[in-house]
Amino acid sequence: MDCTSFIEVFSNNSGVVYQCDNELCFYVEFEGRRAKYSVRNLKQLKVKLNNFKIEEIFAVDSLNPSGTEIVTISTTNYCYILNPLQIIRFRELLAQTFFNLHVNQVLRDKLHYAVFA
Amino acid sequence: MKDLLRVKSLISTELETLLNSQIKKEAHSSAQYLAMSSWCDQNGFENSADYFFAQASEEREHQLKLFKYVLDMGGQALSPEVSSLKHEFESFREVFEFALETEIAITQSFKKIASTCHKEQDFVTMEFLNWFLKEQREEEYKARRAVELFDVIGEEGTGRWEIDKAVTKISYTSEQG
Repeated sequence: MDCTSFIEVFSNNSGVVYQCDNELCFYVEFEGRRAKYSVRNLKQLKVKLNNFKIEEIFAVDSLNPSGTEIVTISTTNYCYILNPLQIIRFRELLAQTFFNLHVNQVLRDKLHYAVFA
Repeated sequence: MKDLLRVKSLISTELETLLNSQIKKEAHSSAQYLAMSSWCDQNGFENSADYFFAQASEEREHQLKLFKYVLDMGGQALSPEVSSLKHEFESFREVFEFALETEIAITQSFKKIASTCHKEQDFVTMEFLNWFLKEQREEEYKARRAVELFDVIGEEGTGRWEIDKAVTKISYTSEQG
């Protein structure tokens, strides 16, 4: 691992997300597992996690009473089998990650691109 | 730290979602106009059937234009599902009133995207949207004029036959004279 290009974007008790500037990708560590994602794949993962309706899992007539969900992203080999609590934690990890990425976007716009203007 | 979101895409996640939503609306409009064309044809209004057939084709072009823009800017364009089409109408007039409602909804949707472009200062997408905003002037004008024909000509006697003929003559030009 090239430490100079590996930057922590966000971390909490559930995991950590790094950005690799050399490879233009992200490394996501969630509950001990590490996976490499492109920008597009990371966005897809976030959308998939957000699309799960947690409240439906706890409904009396739920079609999925165990609450277990399988998450896969096309073009990657990663597969997560998540319970509702893990889905919530994973969502939090990615929500904060994207928040920090947007903060970085604003800072870069003001500090870096402004130099070229 | 590089801005990977920006490196990979010119448009923000929010705008990408809005543009994909617009792609879906254009696809729905295109399919809806085809349904209107079918109804008109089956009820003997062949000029209106042709008019809506042409409208369906235009909406499809709009959909593809938006689709290509999202892809060109590095976003993920989503090919939409189309459902909940209205195939049955109570009257000839209702078809045109529904067409006007559809165009108004499309214009409102574009205004929302334009508003987001201003908020994000995405003038590149704004410039792209200008073509659609101008197009909506024409689309709404034509749809509104078509509905007005029902009052101007009247539906009694051969009125609906006259309206069907007049629909093909509706044209819009933004220039005076």
